[in-house]
This record gives sequence, structure tokens and C-alpha cells, in this order.
Amino acid sequence: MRRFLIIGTLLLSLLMGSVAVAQQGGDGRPVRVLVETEPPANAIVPDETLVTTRLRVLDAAGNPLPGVRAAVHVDTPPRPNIITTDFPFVEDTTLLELETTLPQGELTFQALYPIRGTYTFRTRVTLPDGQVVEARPTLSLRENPDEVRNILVLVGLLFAFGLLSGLIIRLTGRPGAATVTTLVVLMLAGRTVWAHGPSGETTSRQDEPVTVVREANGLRVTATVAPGSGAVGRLNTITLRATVDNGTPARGSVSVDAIHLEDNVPIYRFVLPLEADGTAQVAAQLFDGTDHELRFTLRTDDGRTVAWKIPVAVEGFAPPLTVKLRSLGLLMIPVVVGLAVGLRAGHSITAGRRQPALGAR
Amino acid sequence: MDQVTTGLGVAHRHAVGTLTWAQSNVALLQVGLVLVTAALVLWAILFSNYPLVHDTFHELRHSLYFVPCH
Repeated sequence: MRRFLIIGTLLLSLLMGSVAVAQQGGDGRPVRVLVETEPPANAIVPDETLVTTRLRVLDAAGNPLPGVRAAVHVDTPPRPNIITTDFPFVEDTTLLELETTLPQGELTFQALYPIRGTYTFRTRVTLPDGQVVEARPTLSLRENPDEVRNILVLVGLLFAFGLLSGLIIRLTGRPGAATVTTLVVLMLAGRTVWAHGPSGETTSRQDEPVTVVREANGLRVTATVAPGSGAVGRLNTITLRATVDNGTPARGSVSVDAIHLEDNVPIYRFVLPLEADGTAQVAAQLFDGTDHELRFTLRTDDGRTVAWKIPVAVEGFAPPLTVKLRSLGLLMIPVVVGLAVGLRAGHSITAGRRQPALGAR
Repeated sequence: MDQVTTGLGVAHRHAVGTLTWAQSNVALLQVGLVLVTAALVLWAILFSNYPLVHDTFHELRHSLYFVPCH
């Protein structure tokens, strides 16, 4: 009964696409921090779906708590013990960090979550009365079903190759035949699944911050990206400060879009309210080793806008040797098994051919 | 003539029952060759760091469940 209850709870949380964590406020009031996603968690494809993520701070009655301040750190899933993801340098790192005031008790942003696993939203909420609440809601994502299908196809091909090689070795005894079969099968497999061309990865690196100053419509904005280039697994902190003509802090909000230039798709979208001193800050990990562009649009409460862009090159790294060897070992298992089956089957066929001749004699 | 036929029969019986020492070695060599070749080809396509190879098979690497890319 207890098992069914646990499974039911897990399924419900998947369907709702959200995980809630309840905490007590300093004065004993229950405060909940809720993470909701659109689409729901079970429909999110890692590294493909741009997910609208809503972090809500609710009171005991389930109503949003206005005027709270939230500091959010989104941690990527922990490193798997055996089966790696396609971004090993993203595992067990921080994806996002931001701190802002939530006038309506909600923080909404869009993000492309790069890998499968459980993301932890380490959240520190400061209530209007100064009480602090900490919560760690989580979001669990499954692997892209296409990746699962592809690996099953590859495992099948590797098994078939092993089987064929075993048969050839037993039946023909030609060492060259098996080698040629290896190359043909694996190259065909590679051609079949290969979908796109070169990635155009870049390796330029700039540790110094990049600052852009933009003036338009009576606004002056200073935006800084630190460091000036990205690296997989590392955060880039984006800070901006906006003032109006007389030097007073601007009031309004800024939208920040991080664009993956290779295919011109957004990987993050934030709309951040400007603080009282006209500043806003967010730190985000640009997790693919290629060129990106940060696109900003500042809108003030009095209707003025200014837009600008900052290019950011992101450095990718080769996976650790141990991770690669482990994955290679896993891929060799179907070859070895197929080979053993093929040798065994070839032996049976050979014996079957020769036994009648011996019997006739 | 009968003796020759008998001799061949003995040789056949030996081949079916167990591999000769030479045949075993050749078979082992072939098995080793297949495994090494498979490992080398898989390594080159899915795990090599050379930019040309990596870029060519970048999307393939990302499309396989447990193949790391970067």
C-alpha cells in the first residue's frame, strides 16, 4: 500500500510538472516555494525544449506572497556513477544564479535544460517582514526519447556486427573479412544517424570582463559580462546599470535573451526588474561550446527603450578520459556478446555440415 | 587407397571435435583483430578530440544516450 502511495505521488508530481517544498517562515507561518514548468516535466526534452519556469512563493493559503526577495541557484543534476550524459562538464555545476525582488511573488524565466536528471532550485526567500525561508524544490527530467532509441539501434548494430564477425571467422576463416565488415557496418551506422554538419566550435577565450555602454532615448546603460567569454560548466555574470538623463537610476525592467548562434535559438530568456539603484544581475552557464549572443532590451516605466547585443564565445572541453573509456567499454559489450554468439553459432553450423560425412563413412 | 581415405577421415574427425593449435591461434587472432578494430573505429567516431572528426560527428555524439561530447 505504501509502495502504491509513493508511486502515485511520483506520478502526480510528474503530471503536474512541478515539485513543491514547504518550509516554515520565521514566525511559524508555512511558506511554500513551488517550481512549475510549461510544458510539464515529462514532456521536456533536454537540450531541445525551451522551458518556461515559474518559481512561486506561496503563503499557507496557496496565495502568492507579494514583495518578497528571492535568491535562486539552479544546480544541474549530480554526476552519474556509470552512464554519463552528453555534457559531462555540465553535470554537478550551477546553471543559473539570480537574485531579484518578486513584486507578485513569482519569478518567471525561460531556460533550455541541457541534460537529463534532477535539477535543484536552491532558493532563499526574504519575506517583507525580513524573515528568511530556504527551500530546495527540484525538477526531474528524463532523457530525450530519440537518444534512447538511437543508442538501442547502435547497440543492435554492434551486436549484429559481432555476430556476423563471429560467423565469418568460424565459417570462412578469413581474418580480412571480419575487418572489412567492421568498417562497412560502423561507417553505415555513422552515416545513418549523422544529422547535421560541423558545429563551428570556437576556442577563443577572454577572462577579462566585457563592458558595453549604450546611450539612446535619454537612457544610459552599462552592461558587463564577466568573464568576457564562456566555458562549459562555468557561469557568466551579466550585470547592467541604467540611468536616465540626470544620472538618476532608471525604473523599469530589462529582458535578456541568450542566443545559441549555431541554430539561432534562445537558451535563456529573463525579464528582470531593475533594482532601486537601476541595476540588474543574473549569472548563467552557456553550456554549449560554440558562439552565443546576449540580446538586451531595456524598457523604462515611462516608455523609453534601448536595445543592444554582446557576443560571447564559449569554450568546449573534451570529456574526461575515464568517462570516454567507460562509455567505450559499454559500447563494446554488445560487440563481445555478438562475437561470442556468432562463434558459437558458426561452430554449430560447421559441426552440422561435417557430422553427416563422418557418419556416412 | 583405403588407407588414404581413412587418413582423411581421421583428419576430419579431429577438425570437428576440437580446433588444432594453429586453428585456435588464428581464430583468437581474428577475434582480437575484430575487437581492436571495432574499438578503434568507435573511438575515432565517438570519442576522438580531433576537431575535424569531432565537428563531423558532433550531432551524432549528442544523439546517443551515453556518449559524452563536451
